[in-house]
Amino acid sequence: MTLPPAGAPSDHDLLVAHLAGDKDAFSDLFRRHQDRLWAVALRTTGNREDAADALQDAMISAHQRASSFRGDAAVSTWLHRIVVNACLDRLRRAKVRRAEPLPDDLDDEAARGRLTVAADPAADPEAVAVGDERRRLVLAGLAELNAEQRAALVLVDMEGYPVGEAAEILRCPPGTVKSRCARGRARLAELLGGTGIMDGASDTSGDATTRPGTDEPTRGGAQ
Amino acid sequence: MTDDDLETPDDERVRSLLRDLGPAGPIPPDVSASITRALQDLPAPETSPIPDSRRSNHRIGRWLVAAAAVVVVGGGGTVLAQNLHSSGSGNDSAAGGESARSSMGADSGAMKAPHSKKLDKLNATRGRLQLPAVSSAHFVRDVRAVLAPSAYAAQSDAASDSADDSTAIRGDSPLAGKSDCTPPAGVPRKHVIPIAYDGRLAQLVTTGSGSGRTAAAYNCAGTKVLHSAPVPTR
Repeated sequence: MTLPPAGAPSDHDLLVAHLAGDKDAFSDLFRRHQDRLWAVALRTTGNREDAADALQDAMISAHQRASSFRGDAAVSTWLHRIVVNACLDRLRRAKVRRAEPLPDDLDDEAARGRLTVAADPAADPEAVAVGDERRRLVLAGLAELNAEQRAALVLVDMEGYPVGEAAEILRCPPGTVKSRCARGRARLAELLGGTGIMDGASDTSGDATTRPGTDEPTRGGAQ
Repeated sequence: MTDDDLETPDDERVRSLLRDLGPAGPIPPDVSASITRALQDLPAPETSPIPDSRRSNHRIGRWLVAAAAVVVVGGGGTVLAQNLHSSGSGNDSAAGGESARSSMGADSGAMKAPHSKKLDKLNATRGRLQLPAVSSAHFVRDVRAVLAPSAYAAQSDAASDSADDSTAIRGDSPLAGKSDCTPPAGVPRKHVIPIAYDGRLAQLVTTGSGSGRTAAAYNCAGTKVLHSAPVPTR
């Protein structure tokens, strides 16, 4: 959750102000959470265009239906829920859409929407190429998962949300989130099995995941 | 199923691979600006649920407005009203007049859809329809002009209220389905409205309905050139 700066109105205050007719309040609320909402939309839809459209659809929906917010979850959770639902709607509408190949020019795509992490210019070119290929394969595999599994993995494994918060966003029991994550990982492992990248998957430290943009460690993960 | 049952030997490897994808990065400035602009263009939110009776009054009101518009638009009122109640029945008589296709310089293909016949009939009484221009600077305003309330729009609202909510552009414009461009992937040709953008033939596609309705512009090759903007119908 992104905390407002000291002295700034809370998310709930902004939502109330929005409903009271403050024309800037909802835009302020959006700007406060836009990076994390974007990350979820981009990872869930898998491409920049759909992410932009889904995020906009979701924000318009939230703007118009703000009065339906019942206060049983944090405002940011409510916003994430609407974004995830907009993304899932898009994925379901696409139904049998196959994974779209990543563009040839990853640098250009990275500059526009950052589907992948831009490489360090000082890094070993061979390592960069291997890393790019690995990311390409993982993203392609992720696109093969069903929408629910994908959303669960995006929230828990990629964006570092605790299972409990992911469950609130997805409006399902924590056990269901864990189950979707586990099945999604198993399917992903199956999909990536023939590529060889499952043999030496990570060179990261194995420390607890931290939530992007914060130093806040996840409180549970899908262990 | 217990948590232990959920663990697989590859679990940690997959989690590592997903973590290695890294952060998605901040929202691109153009996307942020586009959404912020869209939010500021929206009308004030509903502060309470709309009662069913009010919704149905809205619908009746739209039909009344549509009927009035048909009369005011002039000339084609009788024909259009007849079509509104017999859409798709196949009993329309052929009508003369120049189609919107010819006004946009495209070839004159067969126009079998009911709305094509309406267009012919409308054109017969109103003359040529001009290809609407859409600009990036005034996208929302221009799109709203393209989709301006009309007898067609009212008919589409009524249809989309009861049926497909995903991509319902049929009938929104007399030009819907008249594009000779390559439709965007997954979008049926009949859901595309030809427009002019940046001096070139382009196409407009809307998704959703009601207050969540958005529109996006694509070039003639089917590549998006302008991001979605809200075009709420009520």
